[in-house]
Amino acid sequence: MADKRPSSSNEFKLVKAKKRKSTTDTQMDVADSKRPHFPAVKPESTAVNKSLRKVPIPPNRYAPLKESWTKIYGPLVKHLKLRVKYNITARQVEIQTSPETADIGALQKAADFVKAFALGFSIEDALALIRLDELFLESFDVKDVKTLKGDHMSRAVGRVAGSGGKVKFTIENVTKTRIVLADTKVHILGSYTNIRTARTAICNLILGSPASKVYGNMRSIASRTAERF
Amino acid sequence: MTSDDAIFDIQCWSKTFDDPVAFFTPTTDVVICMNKLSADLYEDLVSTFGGCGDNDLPELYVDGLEQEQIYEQIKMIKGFHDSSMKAPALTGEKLAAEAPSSDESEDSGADEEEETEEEESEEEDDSAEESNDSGNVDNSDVKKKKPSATAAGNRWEKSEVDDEFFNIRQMEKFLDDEDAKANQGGGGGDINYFDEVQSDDDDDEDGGLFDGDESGSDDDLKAELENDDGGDGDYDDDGGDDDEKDAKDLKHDDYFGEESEEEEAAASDDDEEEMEEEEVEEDEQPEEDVEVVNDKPWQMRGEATSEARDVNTLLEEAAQFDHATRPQPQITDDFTFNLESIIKRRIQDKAYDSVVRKMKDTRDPLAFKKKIVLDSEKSKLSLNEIYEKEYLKQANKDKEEEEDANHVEIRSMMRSLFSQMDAMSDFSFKPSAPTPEIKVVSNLPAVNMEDVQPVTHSNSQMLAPEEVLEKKDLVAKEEKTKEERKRDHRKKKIRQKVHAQQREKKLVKQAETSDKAKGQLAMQQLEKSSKLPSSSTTIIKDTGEKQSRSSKAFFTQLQENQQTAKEGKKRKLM
Repeated sequence: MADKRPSSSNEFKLVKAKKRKSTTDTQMDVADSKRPHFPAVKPESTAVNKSLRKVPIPPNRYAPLKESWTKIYGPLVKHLKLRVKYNITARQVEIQTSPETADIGALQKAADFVKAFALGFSIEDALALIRLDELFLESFDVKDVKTLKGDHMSRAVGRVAGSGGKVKFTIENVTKTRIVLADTKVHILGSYTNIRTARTAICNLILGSPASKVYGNMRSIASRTAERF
Repeated sequence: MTSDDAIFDIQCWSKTFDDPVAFFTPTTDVVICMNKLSADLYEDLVSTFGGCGDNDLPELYVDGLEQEQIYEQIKMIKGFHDSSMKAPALTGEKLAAEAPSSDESEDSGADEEEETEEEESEEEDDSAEESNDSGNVDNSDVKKKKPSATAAGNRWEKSEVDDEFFNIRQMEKFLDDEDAKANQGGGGGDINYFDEVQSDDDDDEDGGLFDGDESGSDDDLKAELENDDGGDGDYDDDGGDDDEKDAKDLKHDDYFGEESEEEEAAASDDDEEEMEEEEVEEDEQPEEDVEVVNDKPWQMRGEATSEARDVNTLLEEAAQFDHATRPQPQITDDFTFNLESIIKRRIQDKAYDSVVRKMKDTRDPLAFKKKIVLDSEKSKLSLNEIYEKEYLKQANKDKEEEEDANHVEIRSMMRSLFSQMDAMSDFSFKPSAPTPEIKVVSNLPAVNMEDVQPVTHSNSQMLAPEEVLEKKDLVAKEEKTKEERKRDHRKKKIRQKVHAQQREKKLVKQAETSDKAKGQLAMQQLEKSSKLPSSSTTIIKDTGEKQSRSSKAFFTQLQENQQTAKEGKKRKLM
């Protein structure tokens, strides 16, 4: 512990604390007022950083995208105040913030919305993502649950879907989610707890439980979570 | 009119009279004959009696008049209705005339003739002859005698019904006297009953009032005739002592079993005998009943035992006593009619009194719990809309439903009205039954509610315990469906698992201290590890065989075990 004294003198020197560089010119006067006084924030300062998102579209969704393009970019541009562009060559939807964008999370929401559409959800269901904060997307594969080969796999998928999609719709109705079955991939859209419930139900179906059993369990769980106040 | 003419007429009349059938219908010939005859007789009577009184007609007018009118003229003769005129001679002559004459009642003239056969037989013999000759020309002489004879001996003439004690003629006479008395009213007061009976006394002397055997001799007859005359004379002179008559009448009414001494005094010696006879006829009244108060009958004597009264006399009494039982309903026509009318009305109104089956009220509180309906159809609402709806419901849940302004007004008006009415009735009314208040309570644990209210005030405690804890109905194992069975099995497995875990925990805890527990724990762990697919440990159960075995046997056994284990594993993999 060597003493690092710049001067030979033994005087104590008051070390001035270095102030941080601040953009604001005004200085706070702590001693004067009880309440801290914050000046109004300029709109430029709140502007979100310019950012861009790109959402790839799978080939099977090209045509639906073309059909419902207005419904896609409409809410994004009007409500979220974003700039949307479809890159044909890259087959990507590009979303960009604009100076009017007020919400920080708007870009993320828009990206999720387009992604949901790309996965296979309908426009109306995907719109819920924009309007509600707490909705999420979850995707998993049947392989993740259980390694199945050949017929077993198709049977498992069949169990998840049910004849005519009955089981899938039942799960959707009970848990207030939206499910997309794409071959072996399962995508679920909904709130966190509902996604979890739906996921357990689907996993049980994949693992081999009959639908009635799954219904029973699902119902008991859903009744507990359904009551809102 | 000369009698010759009359006889001629009678003769012609007799011809017609032979055939009684002629009298059934009024034929003109007969009528003319009869009228003529009546007129002749009338003239004779008028001439003999010297006037018929106030309404006297010099002659009978028969031309063009009907029978009734002629008869009325005849009736106007004075004394026509005197009973004395209806002499016993009449009855006797009736009997005598019975044989020849069959139907004499047809003509009024015939009646008149018979009635005009007066007891003044001296003067009427001719007329009697004429009338009698109408019936019997041959027997005129006999008839002459017969009226007088029969008149006198009428009482004693035996008839079919007469016997020792009874004479029908006597009875008839008696009855006729009674009738005359009744007709004359008080006029017959002077009927010296006893005078007549005096004649009967003569009979008594012979042997009784009804002794018809002893026919009186002519002397007796004459005496009787004289008596009768006297009686008639008495009749004529009669002014009427009503009191005496009444007293004599009362004599026969023994109401109190008394015979008043006055009456006794009034009665003459002759009366005594008459009374004796009457006593024979009437019920004998004990003459010892001089006292007013007799020995009281048993009905008046308070408690009368069976010895006090005669046999079966109580049955004749209508006794009154309290009935312990309800009187049976008298099934009358009225009763059945009423009952049937009620039945008919009920059937028409269909208002039967049939019993309604009582069902036990099993209102499951769980029934009110919100049930999640499994809808296996694609939902019509998108996710967006579902959340929107939920949000709106939640947002609007806080503010209560605003009632219709009209409803509020109506409710306030009704309240004021009812309060006024209650005040009118002085608040003496039956308060209405408490209506159950319906309140929606959500079945959530209190923790989730995040209520600012203290727990004591919150609604969460209003739930009944069975609403919080769902208790299932007891269902037998056989009644359970497949899913239910599986569900219960799963639950059981979970429970067992929990128990096992708890046991293990306990064991682990105990193993720290006791050696036995340690050993047990180690054994458990070994068993678990051997069950795993990747383990190579095999547990050889202690079969209890003798331990001292040759090493060769031991190793061969070991080898075999291993091989079987391997094969088993192989099968597993497959």
